[in-house]
Amino acid sequence: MSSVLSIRNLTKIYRRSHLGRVTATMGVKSINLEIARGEIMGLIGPNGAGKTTTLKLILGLLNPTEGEIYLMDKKLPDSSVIQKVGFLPEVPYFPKNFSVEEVLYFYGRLSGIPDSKVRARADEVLALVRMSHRKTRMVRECSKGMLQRLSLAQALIHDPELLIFDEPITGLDPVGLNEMREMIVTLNKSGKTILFSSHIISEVERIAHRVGVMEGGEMVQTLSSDQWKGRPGHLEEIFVQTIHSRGGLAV
Amino acid sequence: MPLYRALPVLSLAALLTASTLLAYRMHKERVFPYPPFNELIFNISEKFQNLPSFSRPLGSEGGFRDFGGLLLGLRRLTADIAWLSVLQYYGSHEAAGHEEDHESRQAFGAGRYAALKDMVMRTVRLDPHFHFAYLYGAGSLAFNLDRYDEALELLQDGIQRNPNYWKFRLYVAAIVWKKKGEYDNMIPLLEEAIAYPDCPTLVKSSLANIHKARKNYARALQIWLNVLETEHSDAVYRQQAEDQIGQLRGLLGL
Amino acid sequence: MKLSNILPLARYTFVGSFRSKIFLVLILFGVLLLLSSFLLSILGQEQEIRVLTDLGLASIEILALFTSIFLMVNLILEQIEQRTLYLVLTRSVSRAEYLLGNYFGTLAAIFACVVLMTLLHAGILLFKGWDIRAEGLVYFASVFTSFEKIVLVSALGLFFSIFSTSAVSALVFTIFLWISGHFAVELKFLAGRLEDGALKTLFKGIYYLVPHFHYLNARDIWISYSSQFGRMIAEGTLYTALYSAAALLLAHLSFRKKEF
Repeated sequence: MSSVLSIRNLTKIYRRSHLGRVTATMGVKSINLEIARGEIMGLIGPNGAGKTTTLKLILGLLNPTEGEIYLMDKKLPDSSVIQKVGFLPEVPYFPKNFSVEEVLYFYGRLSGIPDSKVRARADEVLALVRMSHRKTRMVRECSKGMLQRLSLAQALIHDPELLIFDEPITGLDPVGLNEMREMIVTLNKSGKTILFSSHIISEVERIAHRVGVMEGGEMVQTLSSDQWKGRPGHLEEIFVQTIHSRGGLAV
Repeated sequence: MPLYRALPVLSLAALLTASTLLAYRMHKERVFPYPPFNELIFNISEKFQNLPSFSRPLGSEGGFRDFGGLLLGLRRLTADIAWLSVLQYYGSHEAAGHEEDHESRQAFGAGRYAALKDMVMRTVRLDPHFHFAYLYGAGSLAFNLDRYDEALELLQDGIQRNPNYWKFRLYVAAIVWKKKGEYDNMIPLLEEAIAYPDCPTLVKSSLANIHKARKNYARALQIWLNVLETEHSDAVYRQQAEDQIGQLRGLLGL
Repeated sequence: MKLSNILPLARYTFVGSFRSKIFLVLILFGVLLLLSSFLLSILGQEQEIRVLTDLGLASIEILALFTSIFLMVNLILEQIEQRTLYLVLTRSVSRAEYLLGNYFGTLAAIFACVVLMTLLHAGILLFKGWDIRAEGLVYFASVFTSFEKIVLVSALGLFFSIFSTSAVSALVFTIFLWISGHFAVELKFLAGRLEDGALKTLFKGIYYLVPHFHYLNARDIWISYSSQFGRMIAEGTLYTALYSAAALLLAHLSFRKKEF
C-alpha cells in the first residue's frame, strides 16, 4: 500500500513571549508516522498529549518547529495537495447567518468545485449525512447533532482522499455515536483514508486499523488491530499500561 | 534569503516609497487652501467674561469643537455649525448685562450684537471660502448695525483670502459710501449686488428700506416682491416682505 | 493567487455583513441621521442647501467610517475566536486570498451602504431644490473620495487587528491614524515653526508617513483647485491604492505565519 501521509521527525515547540520573557512549551516531539492509503488510523492519548497539535500541523494551522510532512508525496505546505484533505473539527463552528446549503456552497466553491456543479454536489453530501430535508434551515436554528452532520458534509463536499477528524465522537449521544461509527466505516469502504483523534478508546478499538498512542507530545507506541482484535478492552489495557509505564497521567 | 521570500518585504518598501513620494508631490504642488489651526478663533467669550454666563453671546465658546472638527476632517461642516451659531446669536434677543434689550424683541437684528464680527470671523477662519458668511456678516454690520469699520475689516479679510471673488470689493465700495452718508453713490452699488443670486436677503431688505426711507416706494416694492419670490427658507423675511408689500402698496395707492 | 478563491470569500463576507444585526442597525442609524439633517439644515436659512450637503456628506463618511472600523477590526479576530477560519484555511485557500476576500467583501458591504445613503441624501437635496448640474460633480466626487478614505482606513484597521490581536488596540490605532491623517498638514505646519532638530524631523516624518486624508477631502478643497479637480481625484485614487496596498501587505506579513 502506498503512503498517503508521511510525518518525519515532526516537532512543535510553542514559544510565547510576554513582556520580553519568552516561554517555550513542547507541543509534539519527534513524531514519525506513516499512514497507508485506505487505512483508518486513530490517535489516542490523554488530554494535552499532542493529538490536536499533530492534526493542526498536518492541516497547516500550525507551523512545525522541525521536521517534515509529506502528503501524497508532496511536502507541506502545498496548496494543491491540501485540496485532497477533508477536515472535521472537534466543535463545529459555522457563521450563524447562513443556511445549511449556503454553508456547503461556500465551502464547495472554496474547494475548487465550479459554480455549476456545487449545488448538485451539496445535495449529494447532504443526502449522505441525512440532512437533505434540513438544507434551508439557518445554522443558528440547527441542533448540535445537525451541526455535526453539517460539519461532516463540509469535510466531504470536495470528495477528499484523506479525512482528518478531530475528536469526531466526543460528546455524541448513543445514536449519534453509532451513526458516526457507521459513517467512518462506510467512508473507509468507499476508499477514503481516515486519520482521527479520540480519547474514547472503546470506540477507537472498534473502528481503527492502527492506533498511535501519544503522551507528553510523543508518539509512544504504534499498534495494529491484530494486537487487540477479538479481545475487547485489550487496547485500553495496553494504553493504560503504556501511559503508566511512562509515569504519565492516569486516564 | 531566496528572492520569492523577500518579495513581500520589497513590495512593501516599494509601495510605501511610492505613496510617500506621491504625498510629497501633492504637497509641493498645492498649498493647502486653509489657514493653519493656530489661526482659529477659540475664545470669543473672553471679551465677555464680565457678563454672567447666560448673557454671553450664544455659541461663542465652541473653539475646541472647531478644533475637533478639523481633527476629524469635517472642516466645512464645522464652519456650518459655527455659522448656525452666528444666525442663532444674531437672531436671538440680546441681553445686555442683566437687562433685556427690549429693542431686539421688536426687530430682528436690532440689538447691539457686540460679538457678531468675531463670530463671523470664527466661521470664515474655518472655511475662508464661505463667501456668504462674509457678505452676510459685513451686510449686517454695515447696513443694520452701522458698524462700518468692523464690516470693512471682515471684507478685507475676505479679499485677502479670496482675491478672485470680486463681489467683496463691490460691498466695500457700498459700505464706504454709506459711511460717508453718500447714499446716491451707494445705491447703484447695492442694486448691482442684489442682482446676484448669492446676495444675502439681508442686503436686499436693507436696500428696500433705504429706498422706502427715500420715498422711492416703487423700487422698494419691487425688491420686496423679489424677496418674497426668492426667499423660501426664512419665515421672518417672508413675513417682513408681506408686511412691507402691503404697506408700500398702500403708499402707492395700488 | 486565485480569483476563484477570493470571490466566494468576498461574496460570503458581503452577504454575512448584510445579515448581521449590527450592520443593519448602523444603516438604520445612518438613514435616521440623514433624515434628521433634513430638519437641522432648516436652521441654516439661506444656506440650507450648503448645511444639508455638508451634514449629509459628513454623516455618510462618519457612518461608513464607524462601520468599516467596526467590521474590519473584528473581521479576522472574530473568525479566529469562533474558529470559523479553520474550515477555510484548511482548504487550498492561501492566507493572502483569505485576507483579500474578507477585505473586499466587507468593503463591498460598506460601499453598498454608502451608495444607499448617498441616493437618499441626493434625493433629499433634490427635493430641497439643489442644483445638481452645478454641484453634482463635486458632490459625487466628494462621496467617491470619502469612500477612498474608507478603503484606506479599512486596510489599516485590518492590519492593526491582525498585528495587535486586540480589537480595542486596533480600534485605537486606526482612529489615531484617521485623526493624524486629517491633521497631517497641521503637523507639517508645526514642523515648519520648529527649529531644526529631532522634533522637527519627527513631525515631518509623521507628516509624510501618515495617510494624507486631507487630500482626499474633495468636499473641502475643490473650491481652490477646481481647474485641477480631475487630476486631484486621479492622484488621490493612486495614493489610496498605493497606501492601501502597503497596509494590506503589512497585514499579510503579520498573518502569513500566524498560528491558530
